[in-house]
Amino acid sequence: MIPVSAVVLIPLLGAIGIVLARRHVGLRNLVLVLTGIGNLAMVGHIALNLSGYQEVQVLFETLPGLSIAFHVEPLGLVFGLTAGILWPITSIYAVSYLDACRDTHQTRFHALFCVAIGSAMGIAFSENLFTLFLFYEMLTFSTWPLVTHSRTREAVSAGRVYLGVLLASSLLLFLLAIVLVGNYGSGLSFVPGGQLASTSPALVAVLLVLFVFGIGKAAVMPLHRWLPRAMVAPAPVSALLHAVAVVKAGVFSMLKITVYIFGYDLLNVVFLRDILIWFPAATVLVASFIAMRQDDIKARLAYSTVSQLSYIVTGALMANSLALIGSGMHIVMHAFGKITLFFCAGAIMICSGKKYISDMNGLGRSMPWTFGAFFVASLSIAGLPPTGGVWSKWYLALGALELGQVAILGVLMLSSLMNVYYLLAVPLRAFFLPAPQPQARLECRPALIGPLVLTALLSCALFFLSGDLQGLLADLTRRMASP
Amino acid sequence: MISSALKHLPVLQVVVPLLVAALCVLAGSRFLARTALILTALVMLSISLMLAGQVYPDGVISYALGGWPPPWGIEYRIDMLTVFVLITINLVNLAAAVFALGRNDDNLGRGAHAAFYAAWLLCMAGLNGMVVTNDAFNVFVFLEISSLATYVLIGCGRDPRALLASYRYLVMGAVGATFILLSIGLLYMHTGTLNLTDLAQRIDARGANRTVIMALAFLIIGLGIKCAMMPLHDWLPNAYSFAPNSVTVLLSGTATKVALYVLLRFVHDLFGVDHALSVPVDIVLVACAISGMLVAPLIALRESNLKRMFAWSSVAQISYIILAIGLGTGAGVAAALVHLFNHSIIKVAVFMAVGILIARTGTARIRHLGSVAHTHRFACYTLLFGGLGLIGLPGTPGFVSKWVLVSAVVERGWWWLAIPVLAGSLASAAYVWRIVEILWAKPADIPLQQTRSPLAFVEWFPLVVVMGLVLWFGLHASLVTGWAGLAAAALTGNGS
Repeated sequence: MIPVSAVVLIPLLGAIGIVLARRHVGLRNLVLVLTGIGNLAMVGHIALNLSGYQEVQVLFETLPGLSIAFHVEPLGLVFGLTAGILWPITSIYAVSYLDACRDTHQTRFHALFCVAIGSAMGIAFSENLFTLFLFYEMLTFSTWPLVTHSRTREAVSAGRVYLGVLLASSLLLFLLAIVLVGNYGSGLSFVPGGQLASTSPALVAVLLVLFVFGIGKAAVMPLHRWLPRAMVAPAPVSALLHAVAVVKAGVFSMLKITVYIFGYDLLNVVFLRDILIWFPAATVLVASFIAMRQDDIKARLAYSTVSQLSYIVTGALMANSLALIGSGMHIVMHAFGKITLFFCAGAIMICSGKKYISDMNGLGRSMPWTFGAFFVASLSIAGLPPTGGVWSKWYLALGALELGQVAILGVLMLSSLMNVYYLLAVPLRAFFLPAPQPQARLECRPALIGPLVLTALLSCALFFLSGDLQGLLADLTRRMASP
Repeated sequence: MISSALKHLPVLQVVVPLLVAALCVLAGSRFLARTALILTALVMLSISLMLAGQVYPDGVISYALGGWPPPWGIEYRIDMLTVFVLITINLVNLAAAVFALGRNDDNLGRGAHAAFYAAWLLCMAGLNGMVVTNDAFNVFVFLEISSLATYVLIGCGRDPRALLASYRYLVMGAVGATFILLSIGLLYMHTGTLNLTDLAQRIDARGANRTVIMALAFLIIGLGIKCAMMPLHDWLPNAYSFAPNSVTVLLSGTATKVALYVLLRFVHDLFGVDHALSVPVDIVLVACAISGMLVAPLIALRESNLKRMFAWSSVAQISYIILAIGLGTGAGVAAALVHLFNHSIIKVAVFMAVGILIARTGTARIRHLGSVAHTHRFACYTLLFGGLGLIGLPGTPGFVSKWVLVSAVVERGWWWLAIPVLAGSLASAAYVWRIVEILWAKPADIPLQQTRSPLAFVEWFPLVVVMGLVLWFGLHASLVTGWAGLAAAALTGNGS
C-alpha cells in the first residue's frame, strides 16, 4: 500500500525534477506532465482502494499533539480528485500558453506550480489543523512568485496585496483560532463530531468568527480584495490556482473545519451563526453585482469566483447534510466550470489580444471552439442543465430550505440569475453581435484549445456523474451521524 | 585519572577558554590561534554535552571551586537549565568560530589576529562562567570579562563606525554592569551571602524590604541593558551592524541569550515573578516585551541596512523570550528556553547568510541588493528560510516557539497576550518579505562590485549544518521542548 503522503511528495519531487531538467525544455515538460499524471494516478489509487486507507499516516511528530499527518476522508478526496484531474490538463495548457507568450522563466513557473499543487494536496489530505495550516501557508508563499511572475510594478504591487491579506488573516485570526482549539478543545485532529463539545458557547462563537475571517483564501468579503488583484498572473495560474487550488483550499478548509472541528450539532446551536452566515450570503450577491460591472474579462471572472466561493461558505455554515453535499459538489462543479472560463479568457487574450468584453463582438465566429466552451462553462456556473452545476445549486437550495432560511435561498437564486446575465452575455455577444470589421479565423493552436474543450466536456459529463459524487458525500453525512 | 577529570568538568568549561586565550596571545601566530580557537570551541561543546550526560541522570552537580564548600566558597552549579544554555551557546560558538575563518569583514592588521581570537575566547569564557556559576558576585566578574572582550570584538569591524558602536556599547554596558553590581551589593547587605541558593532561601525567610526591592529594580535594569530589552536596547543595532560578520553571528546567539539566562535565574530563583514582593515584575517585563515585539519590527521595516534590519529583528525576538519569562509560570520558562534555542539557531543562520551576501556583493544597503538572489542563490535561499523561521511559519522552529509561548500565555490566563504575539509575527512577515521582494523581484539599480568567487568550505559548511538543525528542529521539536520542560522544572524546583 502506497502511503497517503505520496500525493504531497510526488508534486514536490516533480518540482525538483523540473529544476534539474531546466536545460532541456522537452525533458522538463515531460517531467511536468508525467508528475501530473503520476499524481492523478496516486489520487485515483486512493479513491479506488478506500478501504485500505482508513489509517492515519503520521509523517513527523513535531510536538506531542502537534504532528504532520495525513488521512483520507470523503471531502478531501473530492477536493484532491478535482485538483488531481485538472492539473495535468492545466500543465498542457500552461506549456503552450507560456510558449505563445515567449516567457523566459518557465522553469521557475512550473516548479512553483508543482509546489503549489503539492500544498493543495497536503491541505486536502491533512489529518489535523496543524498540517492544514502548514500547507495553507506553503500554498500562500509558493503562489506569490506566480502572481508576481511578470515582475512588473503592477504585478509586484498585486503580490503585496495578495500576501498581505492572506498572511494577515491567517497569522492573526486563523492561527489564533488554531491555538485556541489546541488549548481549549480536545485536540487538533479532524474527527467526525468535532473537538469542541466541552468548550463554552462564547468560545465557540469567537472561534467561528476567527475561522470565517481567518481563512482569507475563501475570500469572504471584506477579505476578497486579493483575488481580483491576483489576476495579473498568467492565465494558467488564474485558472488552476485562483479558480481551483488556492480558493478551493480556502473553502475546503472552511468545510472541513465546520464538519470535523465544530461538528454540525454544535454549529446549529451557536447563536452567532445566524448572523455570520449573512457575510458570505451578502458576498454572493455583492460580488455578483460587481462582476456585472466589470469589462475586463478576468476581473469579471474573478468577482464571479468570489461570489461562487461564498456559496460554499454559506453552505458550510448552514450545517446540515444537504448543504454539505451541495457545498462538496459545488467545489467540483465550480472548479471544472471556472477553469474552463479562465482557459478561454487566456486563449482569447493570446490569440486575439482582446481582454475587454466590449471588444469581443463577433469574435465567436472566428474562435468558435473557445466561445463554445465558454458558453458551456457559463451554463455550469449559472447552474443550468445539461451541466454539473445544476446539482450543486440544487442541494444548496435544499440545504437553505432545511435551515428554514428562505431569504438565503432567495439570495442564491438571485445571484444565479445574475450569473446567467453576466457570464452568458460574453458568448452571446461574441456569437450574435456583428464584428466591427471582418476577421480572419483566429482560433489558437490545438494544444491551447484541447484542454479547454476537454474541461467543458467534463463539466457536461458531471451532469451525469453527479450520482457517484453525491454517494461519496452522503457517505460522509452518514459517518457524521454515527461517529 | 579520567574520572577525576570528569569531576572537574564544570570549572573546565570556563578554564579551558581562559587558558587558551592567554596561549593565543603568547603564540601570536594567526594559524596557531585559529587552530586553537576551533579546537577549544570543539572541546567546550564536548564539555557541555558531557555535563548534560552527567546531569540528566544525577539531577544537580554542585562543584565547590578550590575545595571550599558553599556557601563560603564559590559554587558552580549545573542543572538541566544550565546545560541547556551551555549547549546552545557553545554550539553557536563552534559554528561562529568556523565561520570566522572565512572572509570576516574586519580591520585586523598583520599580527592582530591572535589578539582577536584571544578576545573571542575570553568572551566565551565569561559567558560560560556566567552560566555555570552559582555565585552572585562571580556572575558580575564573568559579565565584565565577557563584556570587555565583546567591546574589543565589535571594534574590529572594518567600518570605522564600528569603533563608535563599540564605544556606545561600552558606555551602556558599563552603566548596566554598575546597576548589576549595586544590586548584588544591596543583596549582600541584606542577606550576608552571595551564593544564589543561599540568597534565595534567606530572602524567602526574611521577607522583602526596600533594599531587596531596590536590588530587584537595579537588576532588571542592568540585565535589561545587557539583553537589549526594549527601552534599553539602544546599543544593539549599531553593535550588530558594524561588528565583523562572525562576531555578529556569535553575539546574536550567545551574549544576549546569556543575559536572558541570568535574568531568568535571578528573577525566578531569588524573587519569584508574581509573589510576595508586591512588585509587579511580571507587568514590567510583559509591558517591555510587548513594546519590543510591536515596535522593533516596524523599525526593521524602515531600515536601510540589511545587517541592522536583522539586528532590529533580534530586539523583537528577544522580546518574546522576555514575555515568556514575565509569565512567571513553569510553562513560561519552558517557552522562554525553547525560543532562546530556536532563535539562536535561526539568527545564526540568518547572520551567516547576511555575512556571505555582504562579502560577495560588497554592500549592505538593502536598496542596492535588487535581484541578487539570481546570482547568490545559496545565501539568499538560506536567508529566505531563516526569515520564514523568524515569522514563525509552521514547519520552522519559529512556529514551535510561538506555539509553546502562546500556549503558555493561554495557560496563564492572559489569552489576550496572544494577539500582540501574533501581530508581532505579522510585522516580522512584513520586514522579511520586503527583503525577499527586493532580493528576487526588484530590478538591480546600480552595478555592484560583486565577487563571484566560489563559497569557501568554512563559509558554507557551518551554515549548512546550522540550517540542518533549523530544519530538523522545525519538524522534531520534542527534544528541545522536552528538555526545556525539564530545565523549567529544575528552576522552579530550586530556590523559592
